[in-house]
Amino acid sequence: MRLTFIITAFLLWGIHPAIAQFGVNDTVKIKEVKIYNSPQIVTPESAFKSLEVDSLELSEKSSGNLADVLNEHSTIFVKSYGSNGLSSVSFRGTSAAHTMLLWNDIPINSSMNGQVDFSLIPLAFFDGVEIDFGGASLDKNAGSLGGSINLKNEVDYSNRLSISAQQRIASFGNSGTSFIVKGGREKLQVHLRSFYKFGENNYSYVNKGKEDFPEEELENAATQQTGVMGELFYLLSKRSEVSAQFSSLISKREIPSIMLINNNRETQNDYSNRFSLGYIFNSDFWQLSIKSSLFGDQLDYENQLLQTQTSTAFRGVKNVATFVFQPSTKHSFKSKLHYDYDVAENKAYPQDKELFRKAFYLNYSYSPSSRVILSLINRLEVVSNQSALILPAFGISYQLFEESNWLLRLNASKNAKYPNLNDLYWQPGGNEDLKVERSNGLELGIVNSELKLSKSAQFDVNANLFYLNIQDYILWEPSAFGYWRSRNIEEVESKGGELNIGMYLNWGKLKSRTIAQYGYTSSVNKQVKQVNDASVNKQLIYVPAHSFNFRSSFEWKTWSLIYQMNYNAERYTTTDNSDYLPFYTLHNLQFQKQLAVRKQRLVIMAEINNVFNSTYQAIQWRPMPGRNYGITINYQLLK
Amino acid sequence: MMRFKSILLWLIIVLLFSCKTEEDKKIIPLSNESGVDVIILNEGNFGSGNASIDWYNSSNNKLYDHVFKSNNQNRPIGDVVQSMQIIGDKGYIVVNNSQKIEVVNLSDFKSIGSIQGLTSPRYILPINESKAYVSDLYSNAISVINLKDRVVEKTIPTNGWTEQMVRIEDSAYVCDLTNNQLLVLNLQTDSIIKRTQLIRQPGSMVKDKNNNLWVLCNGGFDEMIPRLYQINTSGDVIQVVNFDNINQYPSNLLINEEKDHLFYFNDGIFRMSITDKSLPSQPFIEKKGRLFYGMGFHPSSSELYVADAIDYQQRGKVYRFDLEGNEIATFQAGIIPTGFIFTP
Repeated sequence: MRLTFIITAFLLWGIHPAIAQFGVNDTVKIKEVKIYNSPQIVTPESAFKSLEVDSLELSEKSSGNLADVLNEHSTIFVKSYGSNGLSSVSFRGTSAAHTMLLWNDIPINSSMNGQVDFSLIPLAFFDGVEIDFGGASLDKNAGSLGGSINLKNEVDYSNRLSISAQQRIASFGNSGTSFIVKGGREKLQVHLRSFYKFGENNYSYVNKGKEDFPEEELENAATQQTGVMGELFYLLSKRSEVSAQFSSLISKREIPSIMLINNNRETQNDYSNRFSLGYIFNSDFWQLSIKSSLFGDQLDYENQLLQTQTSTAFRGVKNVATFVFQPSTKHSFKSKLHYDYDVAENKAYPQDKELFRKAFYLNYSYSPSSRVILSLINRLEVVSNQSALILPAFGISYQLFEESNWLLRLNASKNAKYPNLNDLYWQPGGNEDLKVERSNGLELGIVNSELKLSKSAQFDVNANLFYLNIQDYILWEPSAFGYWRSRNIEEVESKGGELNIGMYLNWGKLKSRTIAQYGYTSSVNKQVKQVNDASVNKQLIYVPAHSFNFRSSFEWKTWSLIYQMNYNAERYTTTDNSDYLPFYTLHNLQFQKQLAVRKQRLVIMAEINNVFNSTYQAIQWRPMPGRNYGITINYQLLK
Repeated sequence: MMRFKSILLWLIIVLLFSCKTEEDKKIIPLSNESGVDVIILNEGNFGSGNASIDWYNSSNNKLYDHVFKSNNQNRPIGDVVQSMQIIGDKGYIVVNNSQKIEVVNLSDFKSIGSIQGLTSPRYILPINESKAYVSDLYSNAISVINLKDRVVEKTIPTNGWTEQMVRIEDSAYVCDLTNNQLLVLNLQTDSIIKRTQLIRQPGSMVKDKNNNLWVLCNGGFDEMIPRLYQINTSGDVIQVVNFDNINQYPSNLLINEEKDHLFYFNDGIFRMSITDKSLPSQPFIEKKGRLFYGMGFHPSSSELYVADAIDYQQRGKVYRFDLEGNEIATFQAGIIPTGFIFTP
């Protein structure tokens, strides 16, 4: 039993036994990380909300990007400039800068604006996506007031050789190729991943901003991205592993203008290089993991019309050491030490800016009975010479009935986010006197991950209510000096609910899996900014009150049909809620045929996206694609 | 039975979210309103395409919003409405980031065409019935427009950002914010005949009753002490008045109908006579937490129309003040009200 546990832990780059349940054959697309029915370990995750997107789903679309996956598999709102365009992600009514993206527990958000462009994150480069809501994000980092997203790379020492080659051709001149080879022996595993994709994204749309509403083709929207990544995992002994990882990404793209503007000829090139080292040691009762990542990112922007060119570079090193100690089945301790160094160069700063971040995290989980888990968390953060943050959280989960999977959980957490470098130093408008943004959060949830109604029907349910209060929310506001200035100006109160229902039906040869997710978010400003301000108690801009995501797959022998639907309610575009973008509903269909010969598998996928050719905008006056098609051929070899 | 229920549930969920259809946003219908005497330009957010134009009847305090959109098949005016000029029976609306000048019939604001081929137009100055100048932020030139054909006929190279323009007799006077100069142009030859050096950012300019120019330089962002210049038609400086300190950022120089009193923003709203030799020390209307953005002078009622842009991301508020600084009325305009045009 213990050996199984250790291997599992290795497979998952950390102690996380529940994830082992998401094997390759499990096609459940998104579900609660199940912890409580794994008796081996007491962890805090059961008291906090955390979801996973299945790795198989990612591998099926390995030439795609992370923004598309989150759009299709969650109710998290993805604000996109268009097909393959700049995309930011925010949830629970917070901003994009309050959503941290981590890669193997190392944050990759820009230290300058605190954001990540999710459309630049290739699916080919990682194996799993973990979404931590609210207080759950404290396990990884501070500052993710709404939640965080963690990308994971995994290793399987039983693998000898596996190859995955994928070619996708889609509408609007889009094409993507990815190639992943994983191989090795019992002690050594090597992964090589590469991809290349490009697209014209020259879809046509009806331009309601011009006289007689002409049908126009989107101009200056071409994208091109390529990347390579290598990973090496080596077992020093049965208990210890070292690993190294290198990745390099180059993205070049044109940025289309809004419908009301002639072509500005804007372009943006992004370059990103990362090198990471990892070490893990397992004993019977404890585990030590150390990860270190060197990174160098550059962003070059050009607007030919305005004759402006900017270049931004940031580089640094980020380190995290994790120690888990589990003396018995009732007690578990987890601690983390972070040490990060960032330096950013931009002409808008008076000089290069450095950031030092030190953080300490401690979690104690206690299970007084088999049905109760209590979790106490404290995180201590210090950035450069600013004052330290103390961020505690408390959570409890309770199995409602002895022989059932119904679990009730309640948690409360404090979180905070330091101002990012642009907020502090951008000239003009940066404000070095900014305070940190602070939040208090509450979450109540009820979960059942295995609700069997009959032999052929099984459900899972995950329902949550949340409350989040953010003080000293940083906004850029106009100043009397004619430029925008950052200030701790708002108090934001966000509350809402999330309901996820999974339904799995098995009627012999026909299998069906359905995930329905609904989110309600009321995120309002509570602070009067000036005398005539009408934004008090109004929904924040670009936060949909309702979002719904539905995905249903039917499998019959080697054939599959997947229907996916995504609904986002109106999003206000003015702070007084006087104007809004209409709701939109997108329907996508996907057909799959699988051919298998011994250990080779060929999956042919045909997709129709936006089946009903809906006209919609995620951002004002930025057209989104109508009905579009794609064909993907995925070849896999397993030895 | 179970299977049936499951299918039913599935269908209900799908249908529930498929049935809703997109509704058009309600637009207030607008007809020819004879009582309208004020046109309000709402600049909108750069890159958001939410600029708009309102009509206002000052006698009954009634506002008609989104006039251009309502009268042009629901088409928005464009991105960033910068300024407007009435020439004859037509309105020329400079839409900065849409790189065009929209030409409308003044009576109903129906578009009769547009002037394209501009880079980042700011202001339009009529020269005669068929000719106008257009200043520009990025094109390094003043465009000479043929108003009849609605085309750019030629350009006058300027080497930088040109802003507000005033015409006096046979000359045009143009603020150059790149070189911090006042350009004097000959209207016959369409050429620059003189450059008068000023200090940082000559952002606004008016002509007084003596045909002298007043140019307000804000001094840049904490770079120089702002200045107000009085300049004669030859382009020579008559008088310079300095502001108090480098942290001030005066803007929006305006003159009354009699052309003998100046108004400007400097946190609050200040008023001075053109005969004053120094700047007023106290505001005529205090700021009181508002973000003054646009200002206009109603020629027949002698009222100041002042816009509060609030947070730039919601509908702005417009104040009507009399010349004693008393508030006469307020109303809500569009996003970032920037300018007021008073109909003849």
